[in-house]
This record gives sequence, structure tokens and C-alpha cells, in this order.
Amino acid sequence: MLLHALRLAWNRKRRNALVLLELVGSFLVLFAVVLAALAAWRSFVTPLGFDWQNVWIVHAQVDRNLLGLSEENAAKVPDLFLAELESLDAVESAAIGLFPVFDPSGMRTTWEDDGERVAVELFPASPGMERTLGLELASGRFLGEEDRGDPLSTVVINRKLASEVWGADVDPVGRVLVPPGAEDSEGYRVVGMVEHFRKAGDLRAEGNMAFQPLWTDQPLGHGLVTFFLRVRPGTTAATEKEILDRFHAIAPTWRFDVDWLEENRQRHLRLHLAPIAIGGLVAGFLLLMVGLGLTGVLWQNVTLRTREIGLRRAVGATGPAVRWQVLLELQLLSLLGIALGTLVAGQLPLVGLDVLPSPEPALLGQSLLVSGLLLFLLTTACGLYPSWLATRIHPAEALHYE
Amino acid sequence: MSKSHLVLAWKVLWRRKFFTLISLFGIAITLAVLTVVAALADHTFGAHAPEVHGDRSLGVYELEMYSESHEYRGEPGYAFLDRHVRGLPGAEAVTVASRAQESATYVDGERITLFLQHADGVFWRVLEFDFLEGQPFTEDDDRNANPVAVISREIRRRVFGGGPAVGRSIEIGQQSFQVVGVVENVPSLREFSAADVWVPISTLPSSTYRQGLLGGFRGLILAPSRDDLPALRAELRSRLDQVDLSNEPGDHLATAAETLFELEARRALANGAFSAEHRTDGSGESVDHAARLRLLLGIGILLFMALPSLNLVNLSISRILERASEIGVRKSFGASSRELVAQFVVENLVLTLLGGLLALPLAALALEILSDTALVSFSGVGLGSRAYLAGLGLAIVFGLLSGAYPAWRMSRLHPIQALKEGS
Repeated sequence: MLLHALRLAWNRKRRNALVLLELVGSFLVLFAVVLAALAAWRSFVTPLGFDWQNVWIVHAQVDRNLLGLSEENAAKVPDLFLAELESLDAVESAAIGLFPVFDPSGMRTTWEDDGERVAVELFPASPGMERTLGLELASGRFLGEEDRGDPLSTVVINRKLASEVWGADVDPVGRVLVPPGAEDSEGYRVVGMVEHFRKAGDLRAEGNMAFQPLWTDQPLGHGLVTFFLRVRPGTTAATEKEILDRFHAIAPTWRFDVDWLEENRQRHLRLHLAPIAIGGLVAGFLLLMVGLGLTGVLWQNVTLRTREIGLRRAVGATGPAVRWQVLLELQLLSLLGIALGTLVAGQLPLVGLDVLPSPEPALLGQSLLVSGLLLFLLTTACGLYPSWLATRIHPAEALHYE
Repeated sequence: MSKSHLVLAWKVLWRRKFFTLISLFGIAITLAVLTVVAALADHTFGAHAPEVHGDRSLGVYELEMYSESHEYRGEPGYAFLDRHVRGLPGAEAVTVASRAQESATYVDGERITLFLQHADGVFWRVLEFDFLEGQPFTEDDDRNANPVAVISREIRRRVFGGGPAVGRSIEIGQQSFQVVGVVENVPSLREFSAADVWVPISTLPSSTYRQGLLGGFRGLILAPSRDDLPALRAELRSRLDQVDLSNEPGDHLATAAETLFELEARRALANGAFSAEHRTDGSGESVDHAARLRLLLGIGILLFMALPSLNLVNLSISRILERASEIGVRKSFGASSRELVAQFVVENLVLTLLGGLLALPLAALALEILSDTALVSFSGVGLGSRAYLAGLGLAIVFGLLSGAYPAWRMSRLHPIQALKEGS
């Protein structure tokens, strides 16, 4: 039966070639959307590694004059800010960092250990960051006052960085990373590891992160500084205004803006989900169009081959057999389409425009599988009506057909 | 194309309603998507208020300062723009303004988020805002650091309840400003001027911005005419070589005076890097990103139309095969292939033009929805005549694309075969 169906399909190869092309095209469209959606889903369900509920950030634009203070007095300023924050009832804990979260801005550099090089993103943070962001250490401890005595600078890294340098399941605590070509004595000692720190947000890839100590008894450099604060649930914008007024009193020439992480996260999600949603919608319509077209074409086929089908019925083929024959031809075609489409899609990592990052093999495989399944379901659904039509052809009528 | 062609086309399409409907559906959806994209592109890159003179203006949006070990890329600083761009010979006017930054004002304990832009007095000459009340602030205001502000209609509504706002004060970022003018809302897609409140640059709390070569500002150059643009670009490039970098953390500069499209092309295709002709040390590749982006977009559109075209081709062939006997009869009575092909092309064009007409309300609906969602706020994106014409043009291209192959197939049908109805 299979062989027969193959031969029939081959007989009409020119006609089938066009349908095949359409199926390959539909597969690729499906694949693109499924890949994007699966990648987003995968990102979304991975934990962020920090809390965003009831956490606010205050962006500060620091000018170059250190407020006109002497170096000694300027060094007291960061603690002044922290003290103001902690004196408020509504604030549970506060910390200072350089870069905000849900934001791509940051400082990147390269470190190595034993010739193994990695790209690292730095996240300077004061010791209070652990409590403020709700960081959970998988091993070791967070940065603290005890690090001041260490001849080396200390860092806390994420598991991704640890795995990349020393392999998965290796405890990095105690190990040292150095800038390329530098001696161990100029390096950074790892004192703790967090499971995840997805600073850029739910829908962006996690980078290799390293927390570096930001001591609050040093003057703040010029540029941007970010204050983090954890507030009690239910805190309102009135507290926000209070904070801004107090900060302004300390540093009248700096600019301050408050963000609620909850809103930043919403914006981040919307920004990254929007293209997928739109793409999905457009793909949906395209596939609907293809589906309807395919149904029409199949219907046409059945009508044209009425005499052939009638003849089969006349020599004893059963209804189901006829239906199966029509469906089988279609399914062979779609399997071929999926195979060809997979071949084309498999070229993606090789062609890879600079614009798109190359997805990992597991994700590719899953997307191919899901797309193939969906396309198969779609084509089968298209074939249902025409194949049912075929069974309704009465042999005697068919043989009379003009 | 005669009336009989049209009449026949209509009858044929009407006879097989199901086929016609699914073909129309496919065409309408495809063209609607393309028209929406055309409208959005026109809205983003075209000359719309307040950046009305897009065709004769260039912007300096980004600056790169680099050395062997480091690279800083961001907005140009006020000092760079003021010293090296403002006095460009041949420019009608040059304005310097900051990138709009998110800030807030508090009304009755409630926070109202707004985008604040710091601009000079020339801003209002280079850009054409629609003033609903009052007037813009002047270069004098900027010189004297007068705490005045121009607000948008939306801010007037949210802060002052929609009543007259000129003369009243608004507090933003611990500073108090007096409203001197109210303008129509600016769509958020405007690269240079999208903001809710505008204040003079000199009202910035700290004056350190005056020394920065890097950071926080952009310049917009208005030329007397389009023909003056190449000279302006060249002039800026030669000035770059003369910038004193001795106190700066870099040895070389890279920047360009760009149109919006060139800016987006560079951002999208080169991750923001400047090509060799814009760098003071001439390193890197010399690439025309704008041309590449146009090419990619063209290919993208063709690819996007490929699947619906294929679909239409398949449906068309089905239609032809079904009418094989009719074709056979006409051929045996002496109809030339050319005549039959003409007939078929007319049918196809009628179909695609109908689909195009259907696509317009669909596209309008889609744009309505897009404007309403927070994705693109204050869009005011409508189906301008340009987008409409683009859509119609695409419909015709589409019709011809999808009609070529089936028409050729049909002309090859042998009359006897066709009459036998074997396919």
C-alpha cells in the first residue's frame, strides 16, 4: 500500500512538487515561531536569582565635583544616603550598586584561570545587597566587611561562570581568577557562589556575573550610581517623594529617579514578548491560509480523480481504504516536507547572521520536533474533509462522470 | 484588457466561491501585514511632526571614543556638540538637546511618570511643534537658566486636569518650572524629540555637562536643502580630526551625521559600530549599512510574500486544471495562448486587487489596535496615503508574481489532452 501510494505520488510529481514547496515553507515559518517561543519559555521559567517584588531602585546621576567637598568628606556621603534610607520605617534594607537590574548596561571584562578565559560582567555591590535583593548563596558567603583584610580582592560569582571556568559541580570557593596575563596576587578570590543572577531580566540570556565589593566609605565616582532598597509591602509613592526630598537635601546638584522593579520587569517582559506575540499572530494567519489552500487543492484533486476512485470502489475497495489512500498520499508528502524543512533549518547554526545568536542543539531539536508534529497535525486536519468526500463517491455515478 | 475579460473573470471567480474566498483571505492577510509594516516604517522614518524636515536634516546621535584597550560608545556630550557641530558652515540651524529621560512629578501623592528632555532655544526652530497654548522658551531663557517648561497635552491633562496651564508651575525632580507652552503629544517613535516635558538645558542641577565630550546629548542639523547634506557630512568628518583629545580617556573619535534610516541600519546591522570612513584612524570596515538594510528588507518582504504566493499559485493551478476542458475547447476554436494567458492574468489581477481592497480595513484595524496597546504610545499612526499606495503597489506585484507560473502552465496545455480532461 505504501509503495503504491508512493508511485501514485510520483506520477503527479510536478503537481506535488508545488504542494511540497508550500509545506516546506510552512514548516520553516512554524519552526521560527516555535523556536522563539520555546527559547522565551525556557528563559522565563529559569529563576532570576533575585527578588523584584517590593524592591525599588534610585538612579543617581553623580556630578564630577564630589559636591564641592574635600575627599575626606566626600567619602562619608554614601553612608549618609544609606543611613537616610534605613531610618525610614518603610525601608527594610538598602544597598548601593553601580548598575541597575533589568537593564543591559554594565561593565564587561575578561578573566582567566590557568589559561582558561572567560568573559565576565561585573556587578559592584555593597554588602547589604545580599539582603536587599534576596540573593541566595549556593556555596560560600556574600561579600562582607571581613573581606577588607584580604590581600586579594574578593568576588562572588554565579554558577554559570564557575561551570565555564572549572566545570559543572565544582565548588569555586577559594579559587582565584585573574585578568589575562596577570599574577595570582593581582587576582580575585571567589568567596561565594549564587545559583543564578539574571541581571538582564527573565527573557535575556544569563551572563557570567561577578559581584565585586563596593565599599560605602569611599567617595562615589562620577557617572551613574544605583541605590537598591527593599520596602515593606504596601509602601506608597509618598515614601518615594520622601526619599527623593531627603536625597536632594544631601546632594542638591545630583539627579535622582526612582523605579519600582516590578514595573521595570513588566516593561522588560512586554518589550521582549511583543515581537514573539506579533510573529506568532502573523504565523498563525499564514498557516490558516496555507491550511485552507491545502484543503482546497486536495478537494480539487479528489474531484479530478473521481473516476479513478469510483473504479476502485467498483472493484471492491472499502470506504476506509479509499480514505486512507488519500490521507496516506498527503501524509507522505508532509513527512517529506518536514524532512526537507529540517534539512534547511539545520543549516541555521552554520549560516547564522550576526544578528541572531545561535541556539543550542537541545533547543533546536525540540523546536524541530514540535514544529514537525504541528505541521503533521495541520496537514492531517486539512486532509480529513477531502478524504471523507472520496468515500462518498458512488461507483456507478463516478463511472458516469463527465 | 476589455470589458469581456473583466466580465468573464468575475463569472469564473463567482462560480467557485470557496476557492475565491480562500484565495481572497490569503491575499488580504498578507497585504494587510505588509501595509501595516509600511505604515509603521513610514511613521518611523518619514518626515512627520515634529521632525518635519527629515529630508533635509541630519542627526548626530552617537559618538565613540576609543583607544587600544578601551571603547566608550554613547551619546555625544554637550561640549562636543556645542564646539564642533553647532558652527557647521552651510547649516541653516543646529539644535542640541538631551535624550529624554524618565522622571516623575507627584500630584496629590500620586506619581506621574514622564519623559523629560533638556533642549536649547534653537530646538523650536528646527522642529515644528503644534502649540495648543503659549509659546516655546527662547535662547535667552537657556542663557539665563530660567526655570520654564513646555509640556504636552497629556501632561496638561494629568497634572492640571486639562485646564489652561500656562503660568502654572510643575515640580519635576525636585525642581520647580513655570509652564510657558503646551504642545500636541509627540509620538514615542520620534527618535530626537519624543518626550512629555521640555526644559532649557541650563536648568540642569549640575553644570558639569558643559565639559563632557561624551554623554547624554544629541544634535540635529537643519540644512537649507537636501543637496547641502553631503557637504555637511564631509565638514563634520574633517572637524573630527581637529578635536583635542589630550584630556580624554581615548585617542580616536568616531561619529557621523546620519539620517534616521542610516542610524537604525547601523544599530541593527553593525551593533552600533561606525564604519571606517567615520573613524579618525580609519580602522575597521567601510560598509554602507543603509544600503544593506534596504537590501535585507527587500529580501525579507519577498520571502514573506513567497508563502502566500505559493499558496495562490497552487490554487490557481487547481482552477486551471478544473477548467481544462473549457481551455481545450477555446484552443481548438483558435484562441491563441496569448489570449488565454491574458484572460488568466486579468482574473488574477482582479483577485489580488480585491484582496488589496479587503486588506485596507484590516490594516486600519490592526493599526488601531497597535495604537491602543502600550506598545506604541501616542502613535497617531494612520494609514497615510503613502502606505496606502505602497499596499496597492504590493498587491499588483503580488498578483503578477503568483500568476506567472500558472499562466505559463496553462499556455502549455495541449487542446486534445485538455479535452480528454486527463491531467
